[in-house]
Amino acid sequence: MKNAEAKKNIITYTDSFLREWKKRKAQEEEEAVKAFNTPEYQQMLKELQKQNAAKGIAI
Amino acid sequence: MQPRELPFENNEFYSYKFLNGINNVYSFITIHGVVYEIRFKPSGYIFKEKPSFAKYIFEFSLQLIYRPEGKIKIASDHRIPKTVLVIFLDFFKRHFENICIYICDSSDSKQFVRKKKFDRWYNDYNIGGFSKLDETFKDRSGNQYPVSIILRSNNSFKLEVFKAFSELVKKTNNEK
Repeated sequence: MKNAEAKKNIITYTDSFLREWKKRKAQEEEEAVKAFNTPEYQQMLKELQKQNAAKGIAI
Repeated sequence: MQPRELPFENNEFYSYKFLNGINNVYSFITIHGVVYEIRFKPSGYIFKEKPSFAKYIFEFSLQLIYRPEGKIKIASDHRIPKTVLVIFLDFFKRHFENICIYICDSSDSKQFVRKKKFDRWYNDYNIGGFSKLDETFKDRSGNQYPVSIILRSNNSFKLEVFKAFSELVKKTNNEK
């Protein structure tokens, strides 16, 4: 009986871990797309391109 | 052992921006206009029964945020892995005891391709001073998730972390 309970607990823990991981991942992707479309983010990308060019990284 | 100096020049990696926030987001844009984000998400929930080091656990992820239309050879951009390394080192400078966990996404069944690439980057750009432990999780459906843990070799929690990580994987996989 004890072994069965232990087994159940481990499976629950693992499944909840992977479920939590997948949930967080989906949320993160959604937030990233929202942030990318803001003017602030686009401005930040332009600054990074300038910094790259200043280092000699350009097409 | 401390990490050595970067084995490449300043113009061999992209400039990046640390966006801060709870998930420690870094952003960079490549020469072809491809945008990536690297995150180090607090993930103490993985070792919720180990409070001594749970607060130092961060899940590493590299996400493609934007890709312009047309043919772009992302795989051949040698600056990307170098930028990842530079950002990685920056994150470890923020707190000595930080511990990174990398879980390969299996939703498109390319988890082992990701694992191979991650390992290649780790080996090609290993500047010393870090330790890595690799394991694989399995879920109830039999899907496999390669997982790696990276920390400084002289992290004071190193043995405790590796032991807890191995135990978690062993228990998980044995009980399926």
